[in-house]
Amino acid sequence: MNSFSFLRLTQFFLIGLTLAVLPLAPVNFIPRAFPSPDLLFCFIVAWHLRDPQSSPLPLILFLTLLVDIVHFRPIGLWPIFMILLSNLIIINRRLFFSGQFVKELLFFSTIFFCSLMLELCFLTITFSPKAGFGVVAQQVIITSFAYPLVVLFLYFLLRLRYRTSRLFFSERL
Amino acid sequence: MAPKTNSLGWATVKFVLLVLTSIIMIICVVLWRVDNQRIERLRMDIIDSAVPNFSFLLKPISNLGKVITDFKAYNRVYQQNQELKSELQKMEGWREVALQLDQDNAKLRALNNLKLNPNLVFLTGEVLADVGGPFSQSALINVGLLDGIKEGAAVLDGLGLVGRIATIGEDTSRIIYVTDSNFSIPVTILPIRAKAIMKGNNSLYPELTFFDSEEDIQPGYRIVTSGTDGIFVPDLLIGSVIKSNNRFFIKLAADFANIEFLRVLRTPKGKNLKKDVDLLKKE
Repeated sequence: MNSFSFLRLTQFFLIGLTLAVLPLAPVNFIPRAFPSPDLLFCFIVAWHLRDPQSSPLPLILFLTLLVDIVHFRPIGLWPIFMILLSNLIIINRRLFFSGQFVKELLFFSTIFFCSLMLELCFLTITFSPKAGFGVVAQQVIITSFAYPLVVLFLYFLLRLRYRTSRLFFSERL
Repeated sequence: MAPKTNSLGWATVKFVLLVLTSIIMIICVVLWRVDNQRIERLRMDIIDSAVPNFSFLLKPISNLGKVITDFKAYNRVYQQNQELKSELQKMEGWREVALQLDQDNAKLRALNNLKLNPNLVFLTGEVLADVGGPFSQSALINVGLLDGIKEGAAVLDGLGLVGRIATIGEDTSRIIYVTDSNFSIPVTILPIRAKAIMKGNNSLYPELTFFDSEEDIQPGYRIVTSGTDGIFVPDLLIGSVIKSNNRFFIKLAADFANIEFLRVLRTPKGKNLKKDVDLLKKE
């Protein structure tokens, strides 16, 4: 691993950790009319689509497991989703090399909606406290609006582009 | 040929690791559901040791949020000053009434040889983190088992009920707020002393449900805990009744915009919610 890749890996981890911990800040406890966007999910998907090698799955699992623990979500559920999504992203990322962002946004919204629906199904089956479908739909819409901003942040501030030179073993198949 | 074999070998190792990780995560999820109490204790242990270490990151963000809120308040400083002066005038009157009532109360207690519950004391803790998500309203506070508090203890902001202790660790505890959609408790409507249930709905105005007759209830009536649940002590102030679209809601007495320090009541002996089983036994 060269120094640039190590820098990217460190950037990914530190920003991911900040996004995981940031919502814990006790700023305001007034219930919001709309749910806040899941910025960590946006960040992980956007980065993993562009450069999977500097966003390795173990780091993604660590971050999502941390969020599961500190946000009192079912422990281990989101890491399972991330394992599935990571493979889905690596298989499909070549579709977005042409630069059509709308396709990428649609892909993001679909996988986020499916993940939240799976979580909702799991919580329903296990009789755990859950939100209604309306709140889930609101979160999908709000997070989908936040996704382009995260991509712009990665594009302009971190200069992260689609890394097409080195493909994964599974991508070469 | 060798690099290709190496690459294939590495891919196999990665695949095996992936399968193993998936199995471990599935076991974690199953354990979370089946043996919830032990996993929650483990979670609180991790939070106990991890979250205070993030305070270097959380404090500046929290302070920045307060600065922004204060800056917004500067815009209406004059109006606020006028409001405060008028409130102060009213409060002076109320102070005199309260002092007289307190004296009357003391005399009546002395006449009846009334003994107040000595176990009812509170601890003050600082809110460490906002652990609620888009679907839940909760926070982490820096008091725990070592401070002698128990699960189910009532949490107040000095004036009104804020929530209850849902999960407890050694040094920290998780509070579930009255605004959470999974929070409901029996309440008493004063002065008519009617019983009802308060149910959180992810807004600042929890709903009042399961009351006998809505004709008796008027907006402005006070809502206090009934104590019939055996978890909360009776007569803790929650708020006042408001009516909207022929439904009754509660305007909370607690100030959710400025939650920083909270009081946790130490409940009397035998009134703690140790396990769900305790509730079933009571039934």
